[in-house]
Amino acid sequence: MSRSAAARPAAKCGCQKRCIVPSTLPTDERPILELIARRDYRAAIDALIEAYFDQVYDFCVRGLRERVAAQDVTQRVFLEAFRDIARFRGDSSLRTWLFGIADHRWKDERKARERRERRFDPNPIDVVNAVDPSPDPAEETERRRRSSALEDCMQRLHEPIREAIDMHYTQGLSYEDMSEILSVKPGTLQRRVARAWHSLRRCLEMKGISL
Amino acid sequence: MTEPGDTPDGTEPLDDDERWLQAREEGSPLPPLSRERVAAYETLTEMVRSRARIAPPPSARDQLRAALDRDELAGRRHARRQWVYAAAAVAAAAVILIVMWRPAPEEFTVVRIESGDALRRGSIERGMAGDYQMAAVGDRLVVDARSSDLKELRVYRDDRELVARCPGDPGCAGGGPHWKLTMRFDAPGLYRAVRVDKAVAPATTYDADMAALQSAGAVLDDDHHIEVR
Repeated sequence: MSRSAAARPAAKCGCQKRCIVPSTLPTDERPILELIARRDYRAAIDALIEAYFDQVYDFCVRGLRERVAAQDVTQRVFLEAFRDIARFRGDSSLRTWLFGIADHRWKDERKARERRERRFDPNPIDVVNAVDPSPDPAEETERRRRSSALEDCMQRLHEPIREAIDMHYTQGLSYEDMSEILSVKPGTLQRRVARAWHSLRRCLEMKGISL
Repeated sequence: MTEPGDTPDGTEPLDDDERWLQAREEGSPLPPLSRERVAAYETLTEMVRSRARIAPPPSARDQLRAALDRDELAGRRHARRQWVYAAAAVAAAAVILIVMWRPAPEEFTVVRIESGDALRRGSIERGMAGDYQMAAVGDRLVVDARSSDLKELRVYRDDRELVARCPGDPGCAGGGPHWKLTMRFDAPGLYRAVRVDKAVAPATTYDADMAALQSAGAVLDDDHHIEVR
């Protein structure tokens, strides 16, 4: 999926004057809402899976840093959505609603894992491998180095800051949507993201990554 | 809310970078910042934005759909079970109601005179005008009464003497809402059969007894007269 800024609608950017990075173009949810209105919940959840499964999985795997657990949590998110979809009242978009469930579930999973005192896989998230390989080996090596450094720096951020930048810039959620999901004021989230850039730049520079 | 890195009072002054970055997130007019630093942040932003989505395993969707199928099936079974449970509960409630339901007993007072082969009978429903029968000494009186609140049957002679009671006398049979009193007329006089729904001890005369019963709020059926000669 292209995540160019041009593909992101200004209407969902969450800022009034100007949007540097608006949200990703949300799927047209009207057909899904019509399925819900017709009480065809299974078809609605199938449509939600088509639209958002990958995004929810990506969100969970970045939070949990573990693919198997993320897949399990993603499955639980959609099962929970299926059970609750009849009660969806349309107060938010379906995507925001799903991310709200996902945010709770991956954090629950992480807490459960911490209780079990299981150690995180020190290198579980092969984000670099997820990127399409470049045909040029040297270029590919440099790209991997930069990606790896970025992921490492991202993980050094405080979780609320990392989560905010991930939700806004990677998942394309607006600050209003994030505010609804996280129960944090949009201004606070903007401040978190602003601090993230500062920290990330310094971290990358210390790793010898030129920007 | 104090952010990580803030001073406790949140008054840490922002440097140029932070002011610029915060304005950018808020969509506010951007304060000055060096061209190199702006370029660095834009590069960094693009790096973060273009992080490749981490794809789920190819089978993940199929596994989810299989789980949804199981969940849907379980939900349908659960719904069916709920209907079965509901129907069973309704049936059980109906059975309980049928078992517990007792029709209100038919209320009557039958005064019967047995005289050799002849049988005279007078049956009076409560509230109706009283009955009057003739009998002879030696005849038998049978008072058969039923009422949900029946407590006692009495027979008075000449509005003075209580000559029979049920329960209590040997000629008394029955119980609960249905009593049957049998006695032989051994003296001439005007006999009166009375049905009482309050347990009030009898006094000396019919009038005194009736007064005591009425003051106790008893409902009486006392309009059954038998003249014995």
